[in-house]
Amino acid sequence: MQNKLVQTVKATINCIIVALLITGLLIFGIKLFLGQEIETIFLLANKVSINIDENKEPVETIISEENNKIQNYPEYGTKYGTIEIDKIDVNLPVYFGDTLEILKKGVGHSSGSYFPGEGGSIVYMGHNSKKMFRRFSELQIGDEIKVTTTYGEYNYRIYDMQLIKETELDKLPIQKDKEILMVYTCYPFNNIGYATQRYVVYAELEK
Amino acid sequence: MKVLINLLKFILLTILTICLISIGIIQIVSTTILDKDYILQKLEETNFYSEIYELVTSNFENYIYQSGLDEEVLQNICTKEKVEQDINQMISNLYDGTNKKIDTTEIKDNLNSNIDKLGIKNKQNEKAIEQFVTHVCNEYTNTLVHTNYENKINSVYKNITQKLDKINIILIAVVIISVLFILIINNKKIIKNIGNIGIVLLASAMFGLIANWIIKTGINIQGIKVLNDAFSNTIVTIIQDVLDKIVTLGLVTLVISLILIVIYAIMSNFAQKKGNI
Repeated sequence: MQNKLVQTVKATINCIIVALLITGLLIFGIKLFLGQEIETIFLLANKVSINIDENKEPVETIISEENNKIQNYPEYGTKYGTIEIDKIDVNLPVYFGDTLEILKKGVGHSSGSYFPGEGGSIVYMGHNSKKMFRRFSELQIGDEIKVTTTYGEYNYRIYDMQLIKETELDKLPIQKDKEILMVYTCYPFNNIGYATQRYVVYAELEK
Repeated sequence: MKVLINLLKFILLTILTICLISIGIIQIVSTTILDKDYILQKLEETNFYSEIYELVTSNFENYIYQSGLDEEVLQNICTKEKVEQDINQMISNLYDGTNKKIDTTEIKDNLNSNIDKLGIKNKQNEKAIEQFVTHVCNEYTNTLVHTNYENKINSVYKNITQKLDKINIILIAVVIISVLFILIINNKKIIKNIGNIGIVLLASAMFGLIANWIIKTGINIQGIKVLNDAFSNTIVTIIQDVLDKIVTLGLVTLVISLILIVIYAIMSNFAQKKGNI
């Protein structure tokens, strides 16, 4: 009886070994003849694949009170604060970045400018739609703009308004001597078609 | 002589395995990626129509912000049904070879009607408004259609399906010839044939399962991003479904093959005792 069982197991193992040999031979053959093509397919597939680490914990943005230095800047495309202008009923989210996708969601923060609290030029922009900056013309010198970030609150007071051409970048100077918030939108506010002018509001940080 | 026969048998079993794997792959591909109804079903399952509708309306907003017009002008200019109908038309162009273009007249009319309601159209802005309407209609077409080569893709599709049919016939012919040879070599002994079928099925199943494992570990399928989220989601779902089908087929074949091998082992043992083998 035991001998019978041993023979049965032996025959089974023999069959499995032959099957394994065939499988190994096929895999080896494919690797030998199509290895490079398969590698290219894997490479291309992984190029269009993004690794999303869902377990990654969000890093908190912190600002040092001593030297106004920011640690862990917000990631590009993420919301890091809100802008409030009570005079024209504006309360909008602020995103780091200025792509069309970002501007659809709220106010964009030009990546070449400083962050609130850093002591330099901050450049924000938004569409001139009803929900956003359509009523910019109602703003006057002395009006307040409040920016609330994940790391602090900042109040600015408007000291100037200018109408500039879209190419006049020198009217949006980037410097680090004084904290200035520059918020702009397209002009004319009721323009139909592509607007070549920008309405800029300049505000300085209140001490 | 015995060694030569065994070698010949091994070669025939390998050929049979290759044929079986190829037939399996062709069957899976034909009933998934190359099947229009399957694709339409997956589009429905992955909410592709709704997501593209959302994308279309969201892309319209880009133009509204730049145009200076009120957002109300975009209200009800395009329906989800229209998006679904146009996507299905695109699929028909690809799979059935129809050559119908996307008609944006409905969108154009609805948009113009909304703009007229605002009463802002005058001689100065007439041209700009016309441009805006054209931009919105183009945006709609561009969001739905990502290729200008529908006819070319359709001819490639036809070519592939025709070739696959021919390959399938050749593979079946090779299987029949190989089986005949094995029958001759085995001297028509049923027990040995059962064992051989078991080996072929087991090798095919293991190959399928190993290939599936290599693909899943080598490619981050979940993270694949092509064109937009809706399209990527559908692509990922289809790839995963195809791989799942390979796994299911592999597991079923594995179980059958093991049963056959055990039957062979028991029967050959029994036959040996009787002196039949």
